[in-house]
Amino acid sequence: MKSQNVIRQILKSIQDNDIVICTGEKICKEVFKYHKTGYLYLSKENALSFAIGVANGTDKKLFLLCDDNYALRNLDVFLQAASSRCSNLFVVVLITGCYDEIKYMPNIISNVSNMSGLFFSMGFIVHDYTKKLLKKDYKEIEATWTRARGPLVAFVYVEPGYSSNLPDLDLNLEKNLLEFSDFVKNKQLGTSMFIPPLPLDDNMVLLEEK
Amino acid sequence: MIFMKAKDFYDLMCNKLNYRFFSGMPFKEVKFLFLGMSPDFMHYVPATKPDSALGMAYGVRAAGFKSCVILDRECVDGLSFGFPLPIIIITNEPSNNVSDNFYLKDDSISLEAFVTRSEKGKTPVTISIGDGS
Repeated sequence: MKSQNVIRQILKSIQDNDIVICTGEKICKEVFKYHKTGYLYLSKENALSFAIGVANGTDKKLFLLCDDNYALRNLDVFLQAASSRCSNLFVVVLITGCYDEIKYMPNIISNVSNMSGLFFSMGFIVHDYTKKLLKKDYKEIEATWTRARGPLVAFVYVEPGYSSNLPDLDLNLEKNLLEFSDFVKNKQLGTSMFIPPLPLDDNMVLLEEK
Repeated sequence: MIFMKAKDFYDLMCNKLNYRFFSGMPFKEVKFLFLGMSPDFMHYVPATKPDSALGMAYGVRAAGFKSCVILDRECVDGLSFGFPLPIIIITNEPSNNVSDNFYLKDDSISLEAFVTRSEKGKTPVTISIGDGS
């Protein structure tokens, strides 16, 4: 399964009022083809800690898209993310098993016997969408995310490589950050986080009884 | 020379100036600052490394809330500030990595005025404190 197809399908499962933060040059360029307000492109290593901070300050769902190399370099920050208990934080990790720059040079991820177990022990809810995306079942992923609460990590195993001739990101960081910040602070957009239909009140009375 | 109790510091930063999110890694000089923390007026997240603390503070700032980071000078020297957002860094000594610093022993400008001025900028500023001994 190619990463550009996976990214396209994942973005279809994300609502308009959700926040998307991408990290990694190739992923940022792929996502930029489908740019909307609320998408932030970071080439920095502190993208996940930035995402934790944003998730702490908003009730909107936040998706971070990264690759397995980023995850391996920042396992300590993933631990921080899991312990933050931010229910609106969803991390999608595209696992290629090799380095971006040298296409078939493997990284150590294939030697990790149980990636899901590792992240589960940290405190994440762990999903694997490889089979669903192979079947192009993005509606089911969308339905899962509608009711899911984080912190959640979704793994997707993809083929190495990205689209060729990706256009450069035509965005100034300051301008992108300003638009992003306005989007996050905009409470009128609401949130796609699942809200139970009844108020969580000790003195809860059913509507019929009233 | 300004001496300030931790309670008064938090009263100023949290209740008056509305800095509600703190993150960082403790060091010796901020022992009383940590003892004075309370979830009644602030939210503190312990960080695994200085870059995480800074990243979280930037994220909270981007979400519209004022944030502070508590790190010692050596950690501040090693940071790279990639976002054009104003952050307060509480540290023990001024750092060459940050151009604007408030030294709590300096009475030429009040802390409140310094913090208010820094909010209009796009770069982090530091507040250097001692442990009062």
